[in-house]
Amino acid sequence: MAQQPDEAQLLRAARSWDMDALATIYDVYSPMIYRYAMRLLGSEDLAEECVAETFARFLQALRNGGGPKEHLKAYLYRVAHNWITDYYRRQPPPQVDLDLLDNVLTDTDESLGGRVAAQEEQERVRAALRLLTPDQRQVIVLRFLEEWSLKEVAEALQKPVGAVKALQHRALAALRRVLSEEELHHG
Amino acid sequence: MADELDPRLRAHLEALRDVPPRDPERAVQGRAQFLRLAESMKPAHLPNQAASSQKAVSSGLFGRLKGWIEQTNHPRKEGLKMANLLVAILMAISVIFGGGAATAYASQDALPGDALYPVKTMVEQAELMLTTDPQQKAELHVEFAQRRVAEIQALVAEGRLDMVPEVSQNLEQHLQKAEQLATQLAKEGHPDAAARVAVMLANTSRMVERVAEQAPPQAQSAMRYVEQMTNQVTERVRTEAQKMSAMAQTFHINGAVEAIEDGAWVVNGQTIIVNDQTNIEGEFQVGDSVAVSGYVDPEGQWIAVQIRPANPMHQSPATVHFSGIIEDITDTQWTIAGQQVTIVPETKIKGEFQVGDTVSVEAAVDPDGTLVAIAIKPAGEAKPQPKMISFQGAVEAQNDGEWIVDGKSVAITANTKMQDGIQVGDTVMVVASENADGTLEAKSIMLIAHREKHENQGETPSPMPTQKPNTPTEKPTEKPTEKPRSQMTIKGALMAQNGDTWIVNGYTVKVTAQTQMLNSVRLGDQISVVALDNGDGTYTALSVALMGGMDNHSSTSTPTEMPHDGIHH
Repeated sequence: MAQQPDEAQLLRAARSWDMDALATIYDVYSPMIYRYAMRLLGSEDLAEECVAETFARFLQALRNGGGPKEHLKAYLYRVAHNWITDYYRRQPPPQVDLDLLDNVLTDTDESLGGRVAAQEEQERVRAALRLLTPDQRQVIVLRFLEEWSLKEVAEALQKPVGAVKALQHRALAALRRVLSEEELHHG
Repeated sequence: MADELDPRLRAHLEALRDVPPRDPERAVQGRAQFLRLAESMKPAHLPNQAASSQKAVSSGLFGRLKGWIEQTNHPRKEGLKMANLLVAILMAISVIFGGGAATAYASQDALPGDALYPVKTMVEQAELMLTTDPQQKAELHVEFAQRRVAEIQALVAEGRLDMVPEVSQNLEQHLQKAEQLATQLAKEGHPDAAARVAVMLANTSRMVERVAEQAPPQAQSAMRYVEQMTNQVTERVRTEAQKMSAMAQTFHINGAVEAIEDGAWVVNGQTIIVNDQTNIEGEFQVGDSVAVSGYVDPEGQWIAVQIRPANPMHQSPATVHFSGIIEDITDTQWTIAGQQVTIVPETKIKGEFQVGDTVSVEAAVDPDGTLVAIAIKPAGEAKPQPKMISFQGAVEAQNDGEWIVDGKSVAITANTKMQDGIQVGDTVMVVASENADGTLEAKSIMLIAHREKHENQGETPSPMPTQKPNTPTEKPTEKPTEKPRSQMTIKGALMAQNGDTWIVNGYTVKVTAQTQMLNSVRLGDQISVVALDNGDGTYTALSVALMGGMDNHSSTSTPTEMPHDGIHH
């Protein structure tokens, strides 16, 4: 990623609590984390919460002398991913959007109908992703939506590249199965 | 890269690709919150911590890079001359971007988010570093601020609103630096230099107003903020220059050049002094349309600061802009800062004023020199935004309209955003505005961790101490579930039925003999399930109802419905 600053250098400066470095880290990585969270959570509030929590955990880690030694981006994605996984475990799904779905089934406005269909599809794919294991989900999203290389994904998951390949294979098979089962029911 | 993805699967995943742009206002708030948190967590003792930790966050990547280069060159720091620093910086640029001057040149049209944009801001920072004259430096800051405005305009036009906060912030930093330098110049006996900066700032304000007018609804609030901030800085510098008797007002004319003589031009009937300080951007002849901005000096001479080509369609009489105290008010004429201003029915008077108030006036200059007010606004509008603070700690008391968190009293209003179920003893993060009298008004309260043990529920104590609610481990997922079994409603498609285990909208729901079946349901139905959270990612259904035609809302013992994100708006 040519346009990104040197992660090791940034991390060194961040460890000595250089506010400029911390600001740069936020500026460079928070838009990516937001996008990632938004894709998986589909809610602005949650995505904002995920970004805030990811960066708060990062600060805490630095403060306690922990945090990433290298691969800062992979680390931040890992923290965000863990937060999302945790969230999935704890919370029921959104009600607002589904109520909207209900109401709009009778709506004649075509564009609204189209929008709802798109939203419905998004919800369906999100729900399918939720049925995968957390690692499988992360591989799918990082590889095919964030378009990371296998090596980058391996860094985020802290697994060897070979293991990521196998994981990706299983993840795709699982996703295919879930979505096709689902299509049977939805027609 | 995505070879292994078959087209159908790809099509499904594509549904998640497009993400609506991040709300610029929230992005700005998020960043500020992060920086405040970082500031509040700053360790007391750090190895190698130089005085640099005292300084504010510098405006660009380049400034930050410079900071690190300085830090990493400790042994030679004293001897590090500007030239060496620049070499180091250029090396850093070429290391990062693999290019040199050509890259820097190509970057000039780059927008935030583009690969070359950091080069653009780095080059700007280099220019600033090489400029030592405070007046030139102040003007450079305004010029870069104007570039940011142009970028915001382009971003808004392209719908890339997520990048707007970052650019606004950089804009604000340039404006603040310009203000600082202009004030310093005025105080050090160069009030005319301050007047020039005031004129350039007034131009920036006009640019921002135009962009704000064209902005789509979703960008309005962000643009309002930018507009307000720019106007405030402009107003303060203008007042400063007036105070130092450098000028009476700033002016702006869009019109045809009627005469060009040595040292003076006539534009739209107005004689304007053009001196060697005037920035003339282009070559002009009599008959050309120009936009001239400048200031009226205390002797009443109109001094041009900047002359640019103008759109002939926008021809307008001269307008002047100044601020001052109202000395007299009659029905048709106000006296403001010693100037007679005619009030016409079209004059926009924003507020109620009386003699003694300080106002900002925009007026058209009639050919005979009379000032006709276009708009009169309170100049006191230039108040800084309320100071925001954030802190975390335990909730010590919850009273109506007031909580005590970490020993501080915070007012809870209808606008306070907070999660449900926060109790005394829980650890929360509070973002609050600090009023002038020092009282705090909560903007948002975020739950960080539940109290480790609620006596009345007899839960086993959490292994995680509440004092360190966020201690991240290498595997944050192993965080214990501390929540009591809460009741919630799951709505969505019944995706699978495997004996007594159902999948509802992706959630695993256990159906037991006690589950109240209010309707018969089939796979694919949209259903509503009131369930208990088992804390292990599964839910036990209390009742199941069909959504839609059936009135499922009144059919159950009213569940405590928790919005999924737990945040009220």
